Amino acid sequence: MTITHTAQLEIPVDCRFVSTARNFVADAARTAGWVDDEQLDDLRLVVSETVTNALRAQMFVGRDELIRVSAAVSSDRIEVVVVDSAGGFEPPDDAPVVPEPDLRREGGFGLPLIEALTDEVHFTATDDGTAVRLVVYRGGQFG
Amino acid sequence: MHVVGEVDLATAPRYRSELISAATGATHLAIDLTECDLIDSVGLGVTLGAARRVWTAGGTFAVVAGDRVRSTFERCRLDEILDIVPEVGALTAPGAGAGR
Repeated sequence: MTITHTAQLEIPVDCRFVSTARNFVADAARTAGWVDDEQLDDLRLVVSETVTNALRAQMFVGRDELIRVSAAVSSDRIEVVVVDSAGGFEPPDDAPVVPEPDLRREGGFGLPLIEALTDEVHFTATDDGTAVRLVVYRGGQFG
Repeated sequence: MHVVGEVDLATAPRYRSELISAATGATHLAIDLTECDLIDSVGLGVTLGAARRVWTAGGTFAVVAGDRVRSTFERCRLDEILDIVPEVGALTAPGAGAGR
């Protein structure tokens, strides 16, 4: 695996920057030669969900440190890492599953979407928060 | 109701207020997302909330969406409880059995 393109971004704890983050990662992939629009759309959505979780977590605990987003694109995969300073997150023991359709539900779709749209998801505790590493293979599960 | 652009954490509050406004007192509501490029989990939840509001009042609710947005609903299995059609012309006429 040879890394062909890397990029880093820091965003403030402001929901207007969720779109900045997802477009930043999609641009990194595109720069490295990824052209499948469907896969790029999925990538934008999964970055959006991950950054949204980081933002909400920091808002919840009142931390205003910048959220770091990095992308490393190689010929066969993209790895995206989102690092927050929200004091930690207990990842689910098992892969999140899509909840049963339920009219009363208005949330809980984020983690299952992340799981569905990536080939690998890794949660790692940092000194003051969580690093989420997303791996998507080029043309992988999305063909 | 016609939505253009992207529904995410930043735009969801406006989406929610417009939907509540449209859903209040509505008997039949269709959300046209064919010009919506992205809807995230927050937007899905808001959409479901609006559907519940309309259904509770005895009305019908439908989503009009292209393949990309439809696939996001499908990944969360919301196509099992929401009527999702590909174009406005495919909407079922009110009273023709689309209610819940």
